Amino acid sequence: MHNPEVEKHPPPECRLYHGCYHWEQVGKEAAWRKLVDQHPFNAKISLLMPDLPSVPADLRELLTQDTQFYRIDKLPLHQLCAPAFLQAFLNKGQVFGLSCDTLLDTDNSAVIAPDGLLRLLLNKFTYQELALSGSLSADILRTPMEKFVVEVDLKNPNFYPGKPRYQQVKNAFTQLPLAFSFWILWVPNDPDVCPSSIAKYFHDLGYSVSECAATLSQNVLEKAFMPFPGPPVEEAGLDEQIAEPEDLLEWIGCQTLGIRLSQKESVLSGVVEPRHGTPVNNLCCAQSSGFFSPSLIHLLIQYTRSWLAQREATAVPWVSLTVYGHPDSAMSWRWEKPSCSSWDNLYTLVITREHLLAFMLLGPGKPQRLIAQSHNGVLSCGETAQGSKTLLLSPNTSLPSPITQGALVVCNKVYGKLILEVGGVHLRARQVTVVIRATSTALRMWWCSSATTEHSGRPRAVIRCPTGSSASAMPSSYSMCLTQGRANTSTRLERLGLTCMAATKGLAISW
Amino acid sequence: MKLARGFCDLNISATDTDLKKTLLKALSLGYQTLAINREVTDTLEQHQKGKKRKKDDFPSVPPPPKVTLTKEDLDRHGITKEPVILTRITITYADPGSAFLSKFRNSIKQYDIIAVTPTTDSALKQTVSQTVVDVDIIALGPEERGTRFARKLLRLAVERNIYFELSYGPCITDSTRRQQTITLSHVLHHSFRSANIIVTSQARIPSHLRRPYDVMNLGKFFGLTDAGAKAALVAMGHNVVYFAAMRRQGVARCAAQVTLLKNTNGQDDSIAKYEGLDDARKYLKTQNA
Repeated sequence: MHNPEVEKHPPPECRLYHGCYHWEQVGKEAAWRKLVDQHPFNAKISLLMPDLPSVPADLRELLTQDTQFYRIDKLPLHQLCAPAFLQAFLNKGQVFGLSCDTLLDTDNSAVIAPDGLLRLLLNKFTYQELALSGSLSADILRTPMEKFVVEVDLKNPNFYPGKPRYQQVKNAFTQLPLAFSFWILWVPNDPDVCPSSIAKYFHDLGYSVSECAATLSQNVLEKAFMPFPGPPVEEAGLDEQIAEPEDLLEWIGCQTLGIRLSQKESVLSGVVEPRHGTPVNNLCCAQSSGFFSPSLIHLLIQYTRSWLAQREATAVPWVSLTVYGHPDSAMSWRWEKPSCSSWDNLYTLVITREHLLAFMLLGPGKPQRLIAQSHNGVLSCGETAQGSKTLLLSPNTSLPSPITQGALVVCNKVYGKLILEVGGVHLRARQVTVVIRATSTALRMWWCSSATTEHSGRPRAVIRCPTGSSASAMPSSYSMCLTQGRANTSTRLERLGLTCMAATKGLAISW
Repeated sequence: MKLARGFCDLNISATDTDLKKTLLKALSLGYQTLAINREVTDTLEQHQKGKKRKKDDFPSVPPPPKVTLTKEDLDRHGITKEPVILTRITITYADPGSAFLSKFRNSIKQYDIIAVTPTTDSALKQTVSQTVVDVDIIALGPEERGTRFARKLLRLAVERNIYFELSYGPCITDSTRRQQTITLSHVLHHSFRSANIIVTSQARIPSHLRRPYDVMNLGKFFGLTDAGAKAALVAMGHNVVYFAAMRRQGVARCAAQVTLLKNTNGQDDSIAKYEGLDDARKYLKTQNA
């Protein structure tokens, strides 16, 4: 207690599962189909396609045309139990619902899974007031008792007025008017029915409904060197050329971020060009964020497969599709025991002509404390061209002397640039050592700042990765060392910055 | 009855000039529940022995401050969540014998949260035993003498659901204050393992405020664990507001009525009332025996 641990914070565990499937496999062998189907709430899709100077029109149409979803403000939960809603929408299609603007660690959140499960993740007081029974969340550490899970099966054949369970649920929701703002998507079973009728239904009931569409952005790299994805072929000599799954994912992530890879591992960067691969031109990285259903992902897979078949093998070796889940959703994967976590949940599919490689990235397996990731609007205006995620992090502050300057460092990480905000009234110019620990390399940089003062009195420096240097690392932890610098009136950024982590590996944020 | 939501910062000093700016800044940083604090000091003048204090010597307790935040203010700062703003009063006093508290009890009760900074042992004893006024938070101020707080009293306070406050705002500007706060936090940790602690900012100007996740990190220096630091902001803050509201509602009494529906012999027994569960159990024992 007297010497709190401020230096050693191991990064949270990140699990990677991968598998290789043949296209002709069906049934239980095609586990990738289950993977896509069991990830109901897809917030962002990222496609990596070589030999494509710009996103073709039909792909653009596929991603933006039919992908409207609706945002309903302050929908009370007893509306979801109304028999009209159940009959007209829930039983005649798939309803995807996600509560927006709720942070997973502080607020109550709710999701509606496509198979009719309403899952609420509630704080202690709300759970005690709501008269439904639930359990402590399995993904969140149980002491102190924080979050409770209440699950209601809306598609149960016994769930209609008159039955005791229905009455109980309805009474509980009416007595405690728990209302969330939902993002709702309805995929009807009957293709003739227009999906916007759900919006009309709620609009007629008097709730404010707004239509949202998916956004699309792209990033084209002129020359790139794509590694071989595998699976291993029997011919001797080619086995070593296959990239490891982690390396492949790292490469895909680097391309998504626009990190330029160098040939050799230097002191600045631990990520290098793949040793064996095919050179391609015009690698296009298209990113679309919105609210997608798994059926759209299947359509995308079909589309890329047919597109791949039309192209030559040398120009287009493979295509990758990465799907991210929403970070604040109360359900990330719909397994028998639905799980949620505040870490990254995503999966990547690498589509070749013969095989499909699937990589699934999960957070830690053990229950975690709910701390530390506040995503301020992943789907809203904080996006740069590369799809940013503003993370509020506070790296390990190892201070050489007891809190001398009252400085608390907040790191805002936007992919592509690192914004360091040093708080403290008397802070004029400080020397800050940022040590980014990658798996093997360490990167040290100094900066003196006194840049913009958006927050009054708080100097803030934006460190960008200039296109010339390839300073990037795969940091697994960082620590910041705040030393007392001389009162330096120099106001220029001294050294160059570093970009942030690849998009695919779980972000290891250490506290 | 307003309940707390989200991250709580239960001590924002009510200065006349910057109050609205400070509130908006705190809301935009991520806090959702704020309490505007007004400090009242019971000045103990060195009066000669025997003389009673005159009425003019008491400082007055002003009514709770009211601040309205319009929708445009919230939109301009990008605050999407509805804020919960409460009022709080901090009374600093030394002498439990002074009639200050009982005199102003009504006006003190208008505030949502009542906090006390006792400067002497006897004052601490009085607040913990809660004779005069119900106290929600004990904010121990900077003390020159080291560890004078009796552990038994502190533990008793914890049992009675009184929370202790550690504020980081003064630590930002003043280094001696920093040392005192850390010493205080160590003392609290030794006494009762930092069970009932909230961390607040005591901010007078907007730049004293820090983001909630940073404050959670700072909690490590105050001897809190990771979970404890998060709880100090979220769960304990919610608890404080809830208990304060319950205290204002009054003591809750519960009466249990035990009715026997049918006798085991099959006859309808007359519905009897018992004084409590013990009597009912005794009755059941005699029945089964």
